[in-house]
Amino acid sequence: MTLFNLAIRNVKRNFKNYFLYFASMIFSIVMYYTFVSLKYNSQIEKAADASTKISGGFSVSSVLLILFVALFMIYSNGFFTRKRKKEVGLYSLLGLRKKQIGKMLFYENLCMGLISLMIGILIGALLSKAFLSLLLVLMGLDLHVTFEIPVRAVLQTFAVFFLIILYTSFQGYRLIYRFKLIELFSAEKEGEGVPKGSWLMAAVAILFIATGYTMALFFMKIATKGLGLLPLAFAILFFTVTGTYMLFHFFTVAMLKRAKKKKRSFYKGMNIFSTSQLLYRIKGNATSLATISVLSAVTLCAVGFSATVYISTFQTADQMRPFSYSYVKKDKHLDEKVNAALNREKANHPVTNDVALKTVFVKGEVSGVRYVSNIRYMIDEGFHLMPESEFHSYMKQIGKSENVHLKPGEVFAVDGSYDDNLSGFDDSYVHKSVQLNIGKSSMRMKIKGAGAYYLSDFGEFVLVVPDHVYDRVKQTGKERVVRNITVKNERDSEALSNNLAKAVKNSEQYSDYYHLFSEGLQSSGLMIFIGVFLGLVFLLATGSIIYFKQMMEAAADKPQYDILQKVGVTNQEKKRAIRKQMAVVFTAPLILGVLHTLFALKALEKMMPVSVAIPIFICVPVYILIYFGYYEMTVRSYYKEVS
Amino acid sequence: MNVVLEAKNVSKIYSTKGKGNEYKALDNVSFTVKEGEFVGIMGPSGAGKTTLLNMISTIDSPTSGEIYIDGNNIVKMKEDKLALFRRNKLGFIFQDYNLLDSLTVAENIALPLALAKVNAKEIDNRVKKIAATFGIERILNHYPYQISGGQKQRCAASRAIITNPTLIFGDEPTGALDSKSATDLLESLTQLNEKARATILLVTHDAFAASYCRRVLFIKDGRIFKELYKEERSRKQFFSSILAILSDIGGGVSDVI
Ligand SMILES: Nc1ncnc2c1ncn2[C@@H]1O[C@H](COP(=O)(O)OP(=O)(O)OP(=O)(O)O)[C@@H](O)[C@H]1O
Ligand SMILES: [Mg+2]
Repeated sequence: MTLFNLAIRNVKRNFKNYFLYFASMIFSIVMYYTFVSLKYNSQIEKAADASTKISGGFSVSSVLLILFVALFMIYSNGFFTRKRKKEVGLYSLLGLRKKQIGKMLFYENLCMGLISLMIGILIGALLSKAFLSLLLVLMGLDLHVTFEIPVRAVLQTFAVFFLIILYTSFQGYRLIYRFKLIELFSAEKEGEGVPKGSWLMAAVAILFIATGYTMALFFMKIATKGLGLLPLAFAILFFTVTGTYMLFHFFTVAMLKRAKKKKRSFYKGMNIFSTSQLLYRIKGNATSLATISVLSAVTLCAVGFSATVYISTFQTADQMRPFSYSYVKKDKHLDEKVNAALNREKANHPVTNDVALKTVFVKGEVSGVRYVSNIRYMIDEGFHLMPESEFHSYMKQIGKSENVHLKPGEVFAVDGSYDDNLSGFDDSYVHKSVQLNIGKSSMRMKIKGAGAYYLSDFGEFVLVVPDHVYDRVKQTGKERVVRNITVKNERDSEALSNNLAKAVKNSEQYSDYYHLFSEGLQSSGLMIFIGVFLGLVFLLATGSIIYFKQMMEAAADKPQYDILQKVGVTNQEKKRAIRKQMAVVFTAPLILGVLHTLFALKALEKMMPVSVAIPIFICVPVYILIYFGYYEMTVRSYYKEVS
Repeated sequence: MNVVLEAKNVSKIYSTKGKGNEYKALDNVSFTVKEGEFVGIMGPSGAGKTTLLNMISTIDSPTSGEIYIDGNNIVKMKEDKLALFRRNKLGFIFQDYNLLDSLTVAENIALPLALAKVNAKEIDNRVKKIAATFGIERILNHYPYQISGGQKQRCAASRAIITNPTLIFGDEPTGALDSKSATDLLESLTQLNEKARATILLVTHDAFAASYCRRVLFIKDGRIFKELYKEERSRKQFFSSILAILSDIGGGVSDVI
């Protein structure tokens, strides 16, 4: 029998193992190819604004993807070869030379790798158009795309995976040299045994995680008081990740040992077996479970973070640009040009609101405050003043209200970026005094309070002053009138917005909703796409890793279940016991991963004025649902394997 | 006395998948066992003893034939019902021990009681008691990989009889034991047989062990070859008769020595 025949027979006999290995290789390749093919896609590069660096966003994440995919492939390869140790030992026993066996395994893996590489790229090419369309929808780009296979993507995928496959093939070659014959035969028994638990170490683990969580909760406070953002982020990462690994190594053992001591529940039906089994396997599982927990957290954070940014694009645009257009009035001619442009689009974008905001600009500063978060204030180093009576009527016009009753000597700040909760960076200027330079003289007034409103699309810092003060100011400075227009369907008013920008931009200050929104959507759409894509890959891979691991154990544990059968355990009891064991194996890392995510996103909430509630309420349930699917699948295969 | 067990024309054919190789391990075996009997089964290696025991203990099913336990045809029973039946009525001391790797000796012995939902205190007491009988108290907290073959066998025996089953099957339960432990085990079984009126079937190569039985079935090439009753003979006399038959069959004795 030639080596080739032997290899073919192997494949036939171990079809299921080969199939799983094949599937995970193809999956890795499909995902990677799809990703890089988007990166090198010529159409999308053209469609997106030059300012959004498409390939930049993809580059960083594709490195991440390579790392992950490589690890995943090496893991599946390890799983696959472990299953075959016995078979390899048999060949050796039959008198095949080591070199022959090594070569056979090498070529076998290489062939399988190359075949899956071709299949993977093919499937990836077919899928990439669907992903491309999804990406464009998320980025808010209206573009008709055609099927495309970027040559560079194919080459890059090929190069990356060829290296990985070479590596795994070489691992296969070395398999026979790495182990003694006896080890090859007892492949499935190695590395287990009941570990020592330690409450002390378990306590340290919990302490570590608690420290990480506390730091996350008080992120801004700690960061501004010394540590700095990046070192703090790393500290949190260190504490939680180390804590997670320790938790799985010590805490779980301690818990299981405690469960064993509680005789009343331990000696109840199959508990005696499930608990012991978990304890017996925990040593070999702790590291993978911790890794899965960390990966779950990374996945959920990536998706949660990008979803937050995506949703906040809509929120921020709505908030920062309350009007579709704002421009400073100059003369009749300009207004006519604007009106003409608006008229042309009357059908799709009728004007729904058109208000004028009159202010006078004065130089001035808040004493004792280095800077405030309002960018316009930092640039202008002054304020736009408006009279109290005018403020009330203006607010009514834009459908808002704020109770401001100024006493003499008081002013009220209207600052869109004001936030009484956030204030991590800037000191609050409320109740401080402000100095206004009016003509040659200057006056001091007290800031009574602040309201977070944007009065125009310019996002300026406006001070509401008593009417008599405004009358004085008006004599020294020129009153500026800003026209604020709202139209219907501003989110897809590209043509109109471009026309207006062209008409006004060169002569006067101008700002609009659409451009901020579409730019934000392009970059955050790209971000959420990458986030969800990577999240999906991570999720599928982590699910598969647990699945592989459990199936490996199922094969090793089959004799145990046979014994149970003989002792008189019913199939139903077996099924229930498996369910219970798997539930622990699946939920422990999931719960911890979700907890990590909640705290990480909480820290994010401290940094950015966004709410993470919606992303959490969508991402976490979806993640749990898919994860649950893996659980069901694993339970089923496990049961099938052991019965 | 009631018939506890009845085998009618039981045959077992092992066929290797796909290859068409067929091997008849049991060939039309029929016999009955009455309540409270202590029966030995002997025969050369490969004669089909373990196969027979597996059939009548519901662990495997025959290719043809019928087996009744307490009047129930177990060949027709559903698997889950069989499992409950095994758990509640049978005690089995396996030739290869069949201890669970992940459980300590104590837990292995406690398993049948735990499955029967006996309360924890009672389980502890009974485990301790039976461990004392077999001299394995010291290793109760060891795992199977940490104990010797003989200790494993004693552990397996403890597990089999801790529920006081009405029907006990032993497949070479003394195979790995020294003569002291073997005698202890046989004495325990005899006690169960006499005091608790447990019905016992014992497969053995050892004529000494067989001499504790009150009847011995000899199996060769999958058939019952001879049946020998102790009747009024002393154990010593019975022992010599067994030896005589064994040398007739051939193979059996040489296995012992
Ligand atoms: N699962 C099986 N598949 C195929 N053949 C089997 C199987 N189990 C047993 N046999 C064959 O059936 C015959 C009887 O086996 P059995 O185990 O009953 O022998 P035994 O009398 O218990 O022998 P020993 O005294 O050595 O334990 C043997 O020839 C054996 O090879
Ligand atoms: Mg046997």
